[in-house]
Amino acid sequence: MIRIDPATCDYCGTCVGACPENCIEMGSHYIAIDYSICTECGICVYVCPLEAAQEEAREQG
Amino acid sequence: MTEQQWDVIIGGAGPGGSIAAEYCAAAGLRTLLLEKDRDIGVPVRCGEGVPQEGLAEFCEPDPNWIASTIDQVRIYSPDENYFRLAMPGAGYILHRRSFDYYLATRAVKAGARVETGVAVSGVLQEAGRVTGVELEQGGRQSKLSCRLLIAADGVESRIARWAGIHTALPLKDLDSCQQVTLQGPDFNPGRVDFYFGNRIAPGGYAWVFPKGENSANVGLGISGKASVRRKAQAYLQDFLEAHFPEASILSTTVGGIPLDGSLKCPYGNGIMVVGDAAHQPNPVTGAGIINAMIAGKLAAATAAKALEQGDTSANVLAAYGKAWHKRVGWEHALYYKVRLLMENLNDETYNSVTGKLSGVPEPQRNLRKVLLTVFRNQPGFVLDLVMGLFSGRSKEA
Ligand SMILES: Cc1cc2nc3c(=O)[nH]c(=O)nc-3n(C[C@H](O)[C@H](O)[C@H](O)COP(=O)(O)OP(=O)(O)OC[C@H]3O[C@@H](n4cnc5c(N)ncnc54)[C@H](O)[C@@H]3O)c2cc1C
Ligand code: SF4
Ligand code: SF4
Repeated sequence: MIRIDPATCDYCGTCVGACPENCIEMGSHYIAIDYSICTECGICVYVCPLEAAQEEAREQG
Repeated sequence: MTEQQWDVIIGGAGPGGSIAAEYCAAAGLRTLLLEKDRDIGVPVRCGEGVPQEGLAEFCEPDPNWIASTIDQVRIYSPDENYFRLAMPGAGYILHRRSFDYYLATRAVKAGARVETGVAVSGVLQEAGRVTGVELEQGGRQSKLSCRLLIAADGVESRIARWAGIHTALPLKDLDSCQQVTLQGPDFNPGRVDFYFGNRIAPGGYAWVFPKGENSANVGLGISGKASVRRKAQAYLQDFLEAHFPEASILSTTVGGIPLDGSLKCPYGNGIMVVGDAAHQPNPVTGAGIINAMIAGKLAAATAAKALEQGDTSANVLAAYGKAWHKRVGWEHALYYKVRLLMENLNDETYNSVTGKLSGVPEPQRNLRKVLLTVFRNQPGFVLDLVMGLFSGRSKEA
């Protein structure tokens, strides 16, 4: 599961432009992934200049 | 916003969008420029360097938004050797906050309407043609129709994609960047510095762009591929510790730059795409301000013709794509190849080129000499870099 940490994110939009599925929505101060479309390809994690986008293990149980 | 039929709606008020709006309005088109942020020009995600010649096409330099005038370039290799190039009248470092604001002001003066805090959140289409936009303003949704849409929404662009144009940035052709604005150390206000090397900025470079004598934009970009392993943030931290350990950091910003040389087809039925949204920065240097402005101007010229003919089909808007290719795109295709070569240069090559050039007496050190030395060692990057940012302005030192 890919998560973007809003506290770390700078809302630069690099991941938005790179997401092959066009499923990241970003405003001036919010960012959200549409999980119904996300394929967990990881591109957003790769391109982020910070460590705001992260691959997280699925919650247990 | 009053509901009226707009000839042109432009999404994004960066340099590309504002210039497109100005030229559309000046051509007599009812033009609406929409910016999602509440403040035009903020935040600045840019080194703010522009070539003098490029700017001159659009405006006279104004002390209100010129931070420094550049006449020298230093290029550092990984072993911290450098060579210097004198380039009188090369370019400027801007205050983009004020510059972007100024460009939007010009659009308004030309007759365009500008709205801030309004995001384009979708594209309306009928029978495969763009007919308007969906908007989001402070949580409220609305719709507006237009005869033509220009997407100028930067690297984060989604507008063109909603209209069915494929713009997803390829990982291998994307620069992932971080930049700080430093205050404190002495900077030469007339000189920009570039640092190359795989330990410093793999697949990219670091820059020091002065803003006056005690302030500078210091940043770096690394290739998307390198960013998989280590982030631009970590590379910049190392660079700052090595070069400016004492400096105060007054702002930090990150961003991405498309480096694939331009979209092949930056238009569709009822839509044109300009600037970073159309991947128009120079693929070697990442410089995109002037390119976005050129594209905005070319798109406006095509918009005026298309609306006069009453035909905004992709066939007619293809004139914009052709004009861009003829003016800049063809050159970007070459720069793109140069960038691929650069990616394969190792630190030893950078060092040896710089070492040889520092051995050349300075008065004889000119672009031709750089070119020869680089070509003797490896296919060239330095000249292209310098020429890309400060195109064609070199004078013999
Ligand atoms: C770290 C860094 C350093 C750089 N240094 C330089 C440099 O020194 N020189 C240079 O020439 N170039 C540089 N560039 C590139 C340069 O910043 C861009 O090429 C330039 O800003 C592109 O202009 P634009 O008008 O296409 O887009 P932008 O300037 O990005 O403007 C796009 C605008 O659209 C708005 N927007 C986005 N989505 C929407 C929406 N849905 N609705 C409404 N509005 C929207 C955004 O808020 C933004 O204001 C740098 C880039 C980075 C990241
Ligand atoms: S993981 Fe891939 S599909 Fe999912 S949001 Fe990130 S870039 Fe988009
Ligand atoms: S690339 Fe990183 S910092 Fe930029 S918007 Fe995406 S998650 Fe945020």
